[in-house]
Amino acid sequence: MWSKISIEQENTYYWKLGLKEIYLQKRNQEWLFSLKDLPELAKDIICGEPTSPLNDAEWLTFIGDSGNTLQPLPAFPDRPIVVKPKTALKVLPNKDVLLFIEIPLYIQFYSETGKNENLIFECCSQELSSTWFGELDDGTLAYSLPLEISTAFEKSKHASHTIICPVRLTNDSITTLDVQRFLLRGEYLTIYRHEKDLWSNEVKIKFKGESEFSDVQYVNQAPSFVKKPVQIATPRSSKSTNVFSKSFHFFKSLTE
Amino acid sequence: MSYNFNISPEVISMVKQIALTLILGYAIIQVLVILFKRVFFKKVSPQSKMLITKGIIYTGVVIIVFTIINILELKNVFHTMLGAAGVLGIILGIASQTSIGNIVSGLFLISEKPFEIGDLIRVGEKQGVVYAIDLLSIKLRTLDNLLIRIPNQTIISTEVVNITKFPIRRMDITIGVAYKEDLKKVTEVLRSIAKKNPLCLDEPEPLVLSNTFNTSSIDFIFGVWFEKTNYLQVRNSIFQQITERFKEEGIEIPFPHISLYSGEATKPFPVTNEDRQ
Repeated sequence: MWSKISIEQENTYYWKLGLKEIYLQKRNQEWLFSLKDLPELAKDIICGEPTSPLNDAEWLTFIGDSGNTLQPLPAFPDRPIVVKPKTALKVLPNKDVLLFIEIPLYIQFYSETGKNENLIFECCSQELSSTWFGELDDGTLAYSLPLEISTAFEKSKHASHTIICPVRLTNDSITTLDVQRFLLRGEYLTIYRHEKDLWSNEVKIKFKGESEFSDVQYVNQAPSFVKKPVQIATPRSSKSTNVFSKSFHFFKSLTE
Repeated sequence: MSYNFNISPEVISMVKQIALTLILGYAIIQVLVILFKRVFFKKVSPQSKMLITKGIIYTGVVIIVFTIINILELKNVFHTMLGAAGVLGIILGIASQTSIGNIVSGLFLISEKPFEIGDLIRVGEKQGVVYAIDLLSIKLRTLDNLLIRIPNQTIISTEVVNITKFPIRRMDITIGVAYKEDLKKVTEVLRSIAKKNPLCLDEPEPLVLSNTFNTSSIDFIFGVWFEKTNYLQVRNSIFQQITERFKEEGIEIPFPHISLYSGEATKPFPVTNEDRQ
């Protein structure tokens, strides 16, 4: 799925992932992409020739590349993600918990190699609704991701079009931490492949109390529990691995 | 008839120096402005760009003027002028009261920064994008591409609404529904419209408020949050979705109507035919 493809002129290529179908053609120096929405989530990622003819396609055209090699790569969404646990998540004082967050991937198409300057087109595998994280006059535009959060990775339940991001939450305060939502900056995360699964490096979030800034650390290597990981994509933007930011918002302390 | 002009070499030299000062001065100012724009093009906001560019130009012009005064050896005249500056100042002050007021107001506007170049603002009944903040006035480009010049003094003394100051905005829409409708259902439908529209933000949560009992309808205020750049798309899509969903759900948006009764609400209005011969 994530290896280079040699593209033949006028042939139609096809990808199916998440809630999207992507069609591709190469005509002379033009890359043509067409997108369709699926009524329900695709179980697996499919890559190959289209099963049905594409009628009335609206093509997005990218002109000026004479190459015939295409490199599809997974990527994190182009905005930060606000993770909202669907069920109450409470971390006891001085305890930590490892969460597995599944984030719907973006697929990027590069000409020749996966260098930034070779990016032709990218699209999401599942539309996420927009949200605002922070104060009304100063915050971040992000995507909202309501999730059933699990503390154990279950392969059978894992959606094929997602990247698993291990998040270690440490409650370093003296009160119980009621996690209503937290911000994940996918742009700083690397993507690794293990068999068919995609993993990101671990994110460590340390909560020190409501009045203090949380310490967010992006560990610069694949999670230790993933055996023989292969790095397949670099972060969208490079930044120091240790980012101090107020990642938590509106926490409720249960005990005073 | 022949004219004989005797121009002394000193005068010619002076003219040459002035011309050189003007040309060089102009060239240096232009080069500095271009250099600044190239180096800081992406890093600086349009407002700062305008301020720094104007700073360079005004400083350059002052230096050129003083250089020319020096060349013309008008120091003595200049000193005499400075002596008379008090009187001159009063005369100029009276003559250009409005202009000076505008300049001072302009300085206040720049320091207070209620808006910047590129902001969408409303001044009184006029609305437009700030196009330029000049010494005497600000210029707005209206949404239908007209230029409005508003004196700085007017801006200082008028209420100014900066529509695009903050990154997100709320759009409030008033919707009337018929008295027979289930208000709970209407609230739920409006919330689901906001949730399904990809341009509306999840948070802050949309506002659904039963506002008034109007003459023909119960009025709701429906407020959705969105990124400030998406105004038109949000407005169009939300209106379309409201009418579509209300039709699907059978929710009536009433038009103003009056019911006439002849004393009893249950009986029809009596109509009789009269034969007139």
